[in-house]
Amino acid sequence: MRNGKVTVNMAARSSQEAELDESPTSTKIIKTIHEKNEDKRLIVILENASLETIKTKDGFELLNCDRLKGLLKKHKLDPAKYRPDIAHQCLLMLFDSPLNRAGLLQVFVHTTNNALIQISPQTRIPRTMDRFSGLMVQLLHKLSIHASNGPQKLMKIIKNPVSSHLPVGCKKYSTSFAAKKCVKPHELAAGVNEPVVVVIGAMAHGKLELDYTDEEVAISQYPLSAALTCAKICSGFEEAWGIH
Amino acid sequence: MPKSNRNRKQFSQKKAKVRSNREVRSNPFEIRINRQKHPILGRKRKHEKGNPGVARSKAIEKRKNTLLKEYQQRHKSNKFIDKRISEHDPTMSVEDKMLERFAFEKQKVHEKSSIYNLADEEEELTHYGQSLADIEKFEDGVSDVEDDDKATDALKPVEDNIGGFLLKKKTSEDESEEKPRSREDVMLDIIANSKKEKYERQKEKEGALEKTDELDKDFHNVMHLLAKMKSKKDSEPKQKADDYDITVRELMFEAKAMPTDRLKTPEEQAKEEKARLEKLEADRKRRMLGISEDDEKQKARKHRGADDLNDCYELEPDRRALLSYKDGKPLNPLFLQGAEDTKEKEETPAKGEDDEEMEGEGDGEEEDGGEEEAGEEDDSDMEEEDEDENASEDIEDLESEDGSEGEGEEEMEMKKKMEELKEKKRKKKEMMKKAKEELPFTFQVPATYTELTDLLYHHPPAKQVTILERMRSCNHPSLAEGNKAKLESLLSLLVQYFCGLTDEEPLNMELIHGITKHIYELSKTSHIPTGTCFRDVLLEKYQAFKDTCQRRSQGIYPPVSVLLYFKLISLVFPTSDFKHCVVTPALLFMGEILSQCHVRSLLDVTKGLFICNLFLQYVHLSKRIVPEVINFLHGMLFLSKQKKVAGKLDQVFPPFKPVGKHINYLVLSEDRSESTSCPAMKIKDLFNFSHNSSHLDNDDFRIWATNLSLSLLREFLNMYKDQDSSFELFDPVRQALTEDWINVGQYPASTKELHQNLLSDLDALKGKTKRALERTRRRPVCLKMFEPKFEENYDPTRKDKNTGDKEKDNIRKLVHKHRQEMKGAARELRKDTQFLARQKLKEQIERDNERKEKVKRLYGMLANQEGDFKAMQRKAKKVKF
Repeated sequence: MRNGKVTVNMAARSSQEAELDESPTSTKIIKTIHEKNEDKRLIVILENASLETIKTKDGFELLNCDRLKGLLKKHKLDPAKYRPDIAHQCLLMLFDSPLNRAGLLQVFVHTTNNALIQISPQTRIPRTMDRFSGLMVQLLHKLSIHASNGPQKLMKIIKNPVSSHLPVGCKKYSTSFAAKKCVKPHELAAGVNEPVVVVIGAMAHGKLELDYTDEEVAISQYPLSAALTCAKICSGFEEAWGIH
Repeated sequence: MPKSNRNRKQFSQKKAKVRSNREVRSNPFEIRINRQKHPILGRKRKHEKGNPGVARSKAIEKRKNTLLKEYQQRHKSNKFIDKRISEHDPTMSVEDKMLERFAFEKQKVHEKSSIYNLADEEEELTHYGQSLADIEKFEDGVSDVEDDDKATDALKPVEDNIGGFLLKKKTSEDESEEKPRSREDVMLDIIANSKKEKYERQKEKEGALEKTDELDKDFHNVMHLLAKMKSKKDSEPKQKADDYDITVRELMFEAKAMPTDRLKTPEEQAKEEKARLEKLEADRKRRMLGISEDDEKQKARKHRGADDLNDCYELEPDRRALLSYKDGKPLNPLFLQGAEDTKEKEETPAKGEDDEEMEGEGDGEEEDGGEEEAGEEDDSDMEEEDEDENASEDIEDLESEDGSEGEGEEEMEMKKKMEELKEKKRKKKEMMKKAKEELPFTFQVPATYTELTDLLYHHPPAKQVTILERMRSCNHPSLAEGNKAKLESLLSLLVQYFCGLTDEEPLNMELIHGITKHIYELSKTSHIPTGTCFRDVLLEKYQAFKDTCQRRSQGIYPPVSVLLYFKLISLVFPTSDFKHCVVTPALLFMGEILSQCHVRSLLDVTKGLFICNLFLQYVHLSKRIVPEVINFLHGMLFLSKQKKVAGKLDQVFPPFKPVGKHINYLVLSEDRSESTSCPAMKIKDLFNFSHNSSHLDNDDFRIWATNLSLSLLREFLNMYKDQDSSFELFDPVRQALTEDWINVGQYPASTKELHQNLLSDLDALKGKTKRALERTRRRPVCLKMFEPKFEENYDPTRKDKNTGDKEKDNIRKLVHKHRQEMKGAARELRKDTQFLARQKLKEQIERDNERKEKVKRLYGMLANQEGDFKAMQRKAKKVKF
């Protein structure tokens, strides 16, 4: 644990230095960002992500409303609830953002089955849905995923609740179309020099019922898809923190 | 009745068991549910639930039946085995068991007594192993049917009379009787049918044959009439094939596209080339020996193996003549001549004059050819020639003899043959002469430099190149193991040879070109040895240059060979590399020459310009800035300036000096503005007579040098145009041109044009804006992303992935199984010991209890005794008192 903290601090420092440093070949490895790390960053939690494994005759697959209609019917499940593509899109948006490239983003995914996944900022999310499904199946079974060309763990399933992994005393927003307060994303980050937690629902329908958030905000007057919300929030924070 | 009773009992027992099972199953306290940590939909698991109570009791029961029994009989040497019938069948009730035993008993008794009981059972009569009763029942099918028919016939009227209510039954019976018309019958039918058909067919055939015979007979009668008609038809002329038909036929028979041979690999090509050269060499040697190809063939054919069957397919008949005589004379003098030939061979030194003559000839030829053939070979050649000469003499002798004899036709024939023979001889001689002049086709790679020079030195340049070519193809790396090393050594020898050639005077450009080609090609096969070889030579040359410079304490232009060596380097190596182990030193060397050597003669001017030209070649791709060149060319402009004012010194940079005796080399001696032709110079002309530059001391050369400097400047300017510092770099040149260092008026029009163009180009540089100096742009470093590692078709149930090695997988599986079994066995053994311990404890307790009981009883008895005794004592006391 101590060791991990040291490396993280070093990593965080070097990430700041990286902006000044000129050598383009510095390769650092961020294992995880420790919860006690008080550097400014955006922490995104994707709640209610429907990542669930099912055993079919072809093997283990991610439960998907498009491909496994028959099976869903057999098990009397609502197809609208099984949308792993939403989580996939969200993750793509988050990990491709300059905010993440600058090392100022941390992502947690909380599934409907109450599995909490921590994803390293250095993960390259698989581009296609099929590959993503395969990755998730393996993650949910093995509980961690290593990098193909390195020793570090890129994804791992961690202990609930998520609030125990969040920095103490940081602001925690949950996003909802139904929220009374409507803000621009960059306003959430303006003048803040500590971690900010934003919770985004990665489900098709419904509202988040969370006990650990302080405030519920809307970032648009219109209902937004989860992926777009991720993108907007990321760009808002980039704008506020001067990342181009 | 008893059976049903038994069944009922069994059923009730079963039911009770089922009920108890169900009770156990439904009882939540009996069931243990194994919780799934990560539930997966649609996955069936083996051990979702368990009922440990049931399992335990089962295990105990089993142990009671097996282990306990063993335990109890552990000290017993005999064993009581219960062999009563159905004693161990738990499904049977006691009554059933008794019944069964009774029945068995009865049967036993019965069997024994029945041997003597005759009347009790009927003996079965058989015929051919079949029971007679059976035979009686199923008689032969046919007769059966007949009988039945008869029976039905007999019955018919009865049926008719009685309204036929029996008919239905009967017919059904009939059918049932007919149905089993056995297979045999059917087969018989089929056979009969086929026989009949066969007979009919035969008959038909016979009829047809008869008919045709008849027809034939009739036809004979009519035939001669028909024959006449036919002959008329034949006489009609055939239609001639026209062009179209011919082409169609041709096209039809034209060869179709054939698959071509595959392309040959370089090794195969090399092998073929070597084989070709070897064959040529063999031919050459053969020709040198004067053996024609046909002779060779014949020789080869004449040889017969020991195992030859003597019936081989001889393609050519054996034309060896036999010695035959007619009227005491040999018929074929050729044969005789051959025989004498051989005789002559044995007694060689015969005719002194002729021999001497021949020797002289031979020597002459040797000198002419000038080749390094072994002396032996020459000797043998000569010997043969001698023989030939002798032979011809013999023939002449024969001729004269023949003439004296005077035989007509034979003589003529003989003469003809003689002439032919002579002709042959002559041809042979010519051939041999040619072969001697020809080069050998195979060469060994020389080991030392002297060997190489010995080999090449006497040949004209073209032949030297050919020799090298043959040497290389004979020693191609793909042909033998050590050939590559050989070629590498050849390369270094060739580089040395090149240096030697370039030192010579006059320069043999043709040979230099030829050798350059070979060096180039050899360098392609082995890079590193080439590099080291070139670098070593370069180092040597540089050392020599340095030594001379030090000795004279000033820069001296190196000899032409060094310059040509630079040229060779530029051809062999890529000159645009940023860093190259040969080219970079060469560049530095050249720069040093330009920047340190003083121009002290017109030859130096030529050399300097040559180096500038080389620089252009070296850097035209990399566009590296070479300030030495610009400086040198600037100096050239200075040399061609008319220095008028004595007081003011022009600004020139070292190695040029503003004053001295060498500053007016390129000043024109007269006005040449009228001459239109621009003089062109050749390297050969320029570099010959290296110690004397008087042949260069003319205006043509000066104009040429000035023109070359100007055009080189322009080339370099074009190259450096995009450099930020280009204006500053060329500023001295621009100043020189604007100050009219070159008096353009005196030069031909081409010089004027060059001057003009260069000046305008230089002026164009002036207005160029420059970028302000700024720090290099920095880009924020982004996180390095990692690809997550996962399998495409991940199956968590399969723990051990197949490694691909079947044996290994099997072993792994077996090891796993073994471990599992081991664990299971250990567990069972542990439970066994527990069971036994329990059992022992139980027995111990039992024994203890028993003993306690006994002790108690004894104590009680003793107490009673004591009581009685005391009572008696008391009584006695009472009595006493």
